[in-house]
Amino acid sequence: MQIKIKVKGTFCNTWPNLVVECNKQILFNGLIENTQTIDIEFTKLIPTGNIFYLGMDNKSFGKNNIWDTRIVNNQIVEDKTIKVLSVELDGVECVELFNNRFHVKVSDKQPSYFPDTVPTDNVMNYNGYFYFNFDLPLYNSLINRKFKKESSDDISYFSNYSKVFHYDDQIKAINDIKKQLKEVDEKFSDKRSAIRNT
Amino acid sequence: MKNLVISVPRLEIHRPPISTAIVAEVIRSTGHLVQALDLNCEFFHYLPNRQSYYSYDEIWDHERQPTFSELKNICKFIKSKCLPRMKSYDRYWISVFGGSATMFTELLCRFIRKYLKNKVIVLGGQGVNDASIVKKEMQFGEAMMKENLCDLYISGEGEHSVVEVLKGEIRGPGINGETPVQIDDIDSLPFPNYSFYNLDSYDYLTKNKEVFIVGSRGCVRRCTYCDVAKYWPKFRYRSGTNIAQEMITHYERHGVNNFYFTDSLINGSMKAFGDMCEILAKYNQDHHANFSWKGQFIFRPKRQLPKDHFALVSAAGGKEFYVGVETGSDKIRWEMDKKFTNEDIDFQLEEFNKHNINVIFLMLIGYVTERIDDHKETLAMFKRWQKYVATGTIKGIDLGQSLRFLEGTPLEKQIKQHDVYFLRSDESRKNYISTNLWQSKKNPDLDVPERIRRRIETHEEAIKYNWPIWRGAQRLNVIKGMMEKYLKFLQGQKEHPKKVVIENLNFFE
Repeated sequence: MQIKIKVKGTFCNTWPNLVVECNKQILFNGLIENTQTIDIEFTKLIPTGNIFYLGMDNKSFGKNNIWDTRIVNNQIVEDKTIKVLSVELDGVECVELFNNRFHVKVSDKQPSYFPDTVPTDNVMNYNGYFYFNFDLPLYNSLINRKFKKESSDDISYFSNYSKVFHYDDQIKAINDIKKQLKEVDEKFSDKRSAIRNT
Repeated sequence: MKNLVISVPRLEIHRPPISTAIVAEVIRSTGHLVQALDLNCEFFHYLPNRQSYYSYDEIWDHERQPTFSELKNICKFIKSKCLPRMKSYDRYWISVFGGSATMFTELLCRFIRKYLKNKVIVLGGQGVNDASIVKKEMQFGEAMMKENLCDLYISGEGEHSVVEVLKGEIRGPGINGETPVQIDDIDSLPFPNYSFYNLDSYDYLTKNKEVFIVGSRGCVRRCTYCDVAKYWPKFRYRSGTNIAQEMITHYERHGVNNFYFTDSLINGSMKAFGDMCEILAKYNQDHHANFSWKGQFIFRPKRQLPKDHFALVSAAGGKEFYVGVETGSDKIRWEMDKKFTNEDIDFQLEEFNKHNINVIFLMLIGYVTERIDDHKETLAMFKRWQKYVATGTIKGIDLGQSLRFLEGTPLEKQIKQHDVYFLRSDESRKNYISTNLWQSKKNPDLDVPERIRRRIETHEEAIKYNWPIWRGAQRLNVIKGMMEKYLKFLQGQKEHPKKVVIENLNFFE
């Protein structure tokens, strides 16, 4: 699987450190200076339950009196962050699978009551990570995760896109037709050939 | 004389009807009093919920008879909701949009004749003249005239015929069965006027209002299986400036920024399409109109496309295109007279992906010359382009109902060339031949069961690669019906099949 990540780091004291992990294997661990594109090839995938993480781990919240957010007159003038611009798996954009939910790992002098997850527009403002799961085949899994919705009967059938990716009725119809084809084979193959060859 | 232009069920409820918006505007622009009434929309609001509204679809499509209670409900709706709103008008112009509008139209006209005396009823729209390759039944408009359920019917493009009828003419092109004449200069026609409708009463698909728009009539292509040229022999298109101006007018007047083109191809004329895109892109930039439009589109050979073409289309609001890809075989696509290849599709899918444009593939499985290798190429496309399903670029695929021989198509003229014969299956309807029960002596392997087998194999491949199959169950029901007809044909078959010739076509019965 080809992974292509585009991120933008912002500086405060030092550059932010990005960690990319898949199935508990660290694929990238390094500082992000401004906008960077990272290409990774990863092959150790499992049929179900692959987990892809993208996180930041070096933001200081008062450790040794270092704060990686600098505020002047109530305005943030410098902040250590990573914005995730794009995450592609085999050429398919997946950033929306993070669902804008960032999982925070409370560190240093961050209050213990800080929420475990924060809504964010793909920006890491704290130490922690985004993640999503996927299965194999990759595209089938991504399609379901990105586009499959609950089927609704409240839209005219001409325009009802909620029905796509729901195949149960179609499989049933296909099986019925296969039975009919079998009947042709078993009972009428002579007549079928006679017509065809006349 | 006060005129009322009426749309009837069943139409899509997601946009106001365009045909009556045009007819009403034609009548208004000639100085006559006119109003429009959308009974399809009224019926939608008359019923308790959407489910109930959609449960009538099968009735309008003649797939089943209404139950007693449903029929009572329709009659009650006409009597209590329609007639009171119609009685103060003198002349009714009823738009019969295809076969799915005929049942309601007939009922409505019966009620008008019974309860509203001395009114003039004019019917128009595609539904007045439905026909098939060998069906010899009377056309709807003619039948309604014979029954005294209408006074006139108009076929073909209505703009000029309506004006003639307003002048008191009862004869002329397009009137009462006379052959209609195509209008050459469609730039000079009035824009549809949606002020006749309450645009807030429609069940839009998104939070934005959406209306239909017509950029061209007819088709620049002559795909062998398609009967568009029968209805519109000549391809006519509006200038890009004129189309863009109409869209801007609807935006400025009603706040509408979503459009659905009814054209056979919105990019039939590259010049008009390019001009339209340039104007809309500039307007979008200057006014933040956020236009979004969709319609049928043709993939073109890569070499014909100007540089940055799709960046411009996207900036103009081009969002979703229905493309007749038909097959995965370049050879078959060429024989269909579609002039693009899989390589052209590769290029355009990548461009669509880059510029956030969606596409819906329209397919035709089992073309008359299709061999097993062609079929395999069709199966291969599901893997080849699955990536674009995952990116969201391919938003749907309609696997269709298999090839039919339609009247007035280039393929109909090739029946002898392909040595095609038909199977008569349905004794209950004399003279009715299913145009999908055909076989070709030039391609004997592709008989009816083989076509059905390939059709469902294609469907299974689409499922395997998780493609967004559009109207999948409905299409398979048609295939199932085709299979049932074929089985019925075989069951009635003697040891030695009997050949007959009807109107120069070969049949087995």
